[in-house]
Amino acid sequence: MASLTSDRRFSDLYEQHGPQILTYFKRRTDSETAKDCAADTFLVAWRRIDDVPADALPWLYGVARRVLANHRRSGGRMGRLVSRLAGFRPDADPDPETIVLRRADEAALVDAVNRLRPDDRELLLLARWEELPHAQIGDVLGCSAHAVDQRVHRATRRLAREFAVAVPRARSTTTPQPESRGEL
Amino acid sequence: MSADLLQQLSAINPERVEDVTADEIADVLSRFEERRAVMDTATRDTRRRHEPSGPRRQRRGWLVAVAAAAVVLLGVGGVAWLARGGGDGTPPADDEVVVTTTELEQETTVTSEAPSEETTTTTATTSPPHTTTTTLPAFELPPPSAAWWSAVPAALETPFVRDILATGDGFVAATASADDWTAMVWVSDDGTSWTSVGTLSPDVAVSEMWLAEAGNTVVVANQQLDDGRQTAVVWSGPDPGSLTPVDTNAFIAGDRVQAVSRGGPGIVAVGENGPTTTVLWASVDGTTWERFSDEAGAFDRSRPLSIAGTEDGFVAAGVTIDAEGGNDAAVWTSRDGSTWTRLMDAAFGGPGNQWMDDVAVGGGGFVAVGASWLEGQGVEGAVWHSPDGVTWSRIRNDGVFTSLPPGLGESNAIIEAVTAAGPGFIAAGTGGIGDGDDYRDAGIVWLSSDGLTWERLPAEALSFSAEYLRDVEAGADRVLIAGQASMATEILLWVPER
Repeated sequence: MASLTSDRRFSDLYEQHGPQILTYFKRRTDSETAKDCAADTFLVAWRRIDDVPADALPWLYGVARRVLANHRRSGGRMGRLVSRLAGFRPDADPDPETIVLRRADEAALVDAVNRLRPDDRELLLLARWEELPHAQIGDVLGCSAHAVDQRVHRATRRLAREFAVAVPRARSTTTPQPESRGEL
Repeated sequence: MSADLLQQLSAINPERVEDVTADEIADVLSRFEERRAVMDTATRDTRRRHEPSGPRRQRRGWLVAVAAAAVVLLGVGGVAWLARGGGDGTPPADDEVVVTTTELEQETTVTSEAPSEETTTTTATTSPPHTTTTTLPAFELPPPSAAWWSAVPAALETPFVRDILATGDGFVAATASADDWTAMVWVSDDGTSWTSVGTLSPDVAVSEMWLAEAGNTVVVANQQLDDGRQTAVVWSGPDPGSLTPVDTNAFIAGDRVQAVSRGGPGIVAVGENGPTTTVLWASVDGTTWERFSDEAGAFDRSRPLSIAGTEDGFVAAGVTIDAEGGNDAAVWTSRDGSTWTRLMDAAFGGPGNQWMDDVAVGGGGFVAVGASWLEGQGVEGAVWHSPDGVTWSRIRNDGVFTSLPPGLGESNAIIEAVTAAGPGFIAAGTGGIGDGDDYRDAGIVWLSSDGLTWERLPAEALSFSAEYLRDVEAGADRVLIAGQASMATEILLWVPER
């Protein structure tokens, strides 16, 4: 039987982290899907409230990663269409597919991020978008803070290599804008 | 430069926490509450079926607390959600499904032999002669009518149903848990009442799953590894309740299975290890597996998505890259599961993109289903038929393989699953219903008595809330369709009258 304590705990959990979890999804998918995924994430938290650690945010991000992966694998019709069509172009990974950037260098950076391995991409986004400390990223990904340090270093080097490849392509397909920024 | 890149990555962050609005938070809470109510119903229904005296877990108090917190946190914008009443205290109606159990009228026993021609030396070790008993549904399809079908809401306590298999005495379902993505197996005698036989491995999170029977019950699943890669894992046992992990080195890190089927020669699986390496696996009984490479390059630049097994071979269906860089449907055949030949047929191509999601074989031949997508014209279902698995034709039924009759609004569809039922076929998928703000995804069902002529069930008449129909399976005396509805799986059931 659920107790008032666990109900209060869930309430506190949502109050403290609801916006952060919704934002996590909004950064990675469309608004409607983000709301569905946020609701699914807190449903897991509600069912497993006794398992949620005191430092809940990394735990919630861990759930959120799986919710989004599952949604992309078996979720909406257009999501499946996109993933299916993209599945036969090894260089293409639509994540985060809803980000639309018009400036060539920013597009190149997004392209470079998308070409990273999924774990490298998530690592960098957790660090730079969710602004999680490395210790908390370790909690999300199931590794130590030291391991996160090393992986961030390696992922950043890979990002630089991919960016160097992506910039010429982006500039050849995107009309540069006068205010384009970024250095080659 | 790397540090600059990371700063730039931070700068292009498209959303900020402080930009979340009270309306958005209220919307999320509303969606959460809908899911919680469905989950609560699923739990209650399951307990009513299997633990009649079990207490119902009540957790309504949290709702008031969460709503109050949201209002305090975000202001009056969240009040709209409160006005909707919050928790669902209404007990669900008793199951309205009346299942008529009828005796199996026809059972066909097929004795299969080993492939007559051995194309590789490994064939002999993976395909010894054995006997297969196949039960073919005896019924014929009725005229399309929603009245034939009844829905079992929240039949499974997870929305992530991956595969359903008809057995001689009922059905088996493989699902991923909604909590932690562990693999679960369920059994049902009638398609209505389902019992979980437990989590297969508590430390293994899975994505796609497949079921097969070959003397043993076999579950094949793609396992999520912590580093973002996948591998495959297999469980096997004499019955669904006795599944144990299979110790095999045939599956390695990076493997991703894409299709599994059982045919006369045994169980075969096709998948990949990385984007350009096709891998094949074969097993007689699911307990020992062999790994093959695609030496002939039959799957180059292609991806099989489904396999149909017959008594003497296999037919795979999927998608390939066409000459223009788009996608065309693709079909492969194999006698033994280890050596495959890709069929070349103009029926698989055409304007735009097309692919095959599923293939089935029955008394009416082979049917493959999928979708076609033309830039600017949306997505519509696609169906192919073959009398023998070798010669294929695209079925053209204008206005049928969409979600609505012509002229009734935006219409599109993807057909995801098909099964043979006697001489006919039943297909299921998802389509769009309505226009503008009323637009929504809905489960769609198509029927054919011969694989050549198809009709769509009127979706608006189906008492089925699942938006995404995942699998369709014909048992000895009934057909069921599994659909994802919020946080549970609905079963759409049709029991033919005798």
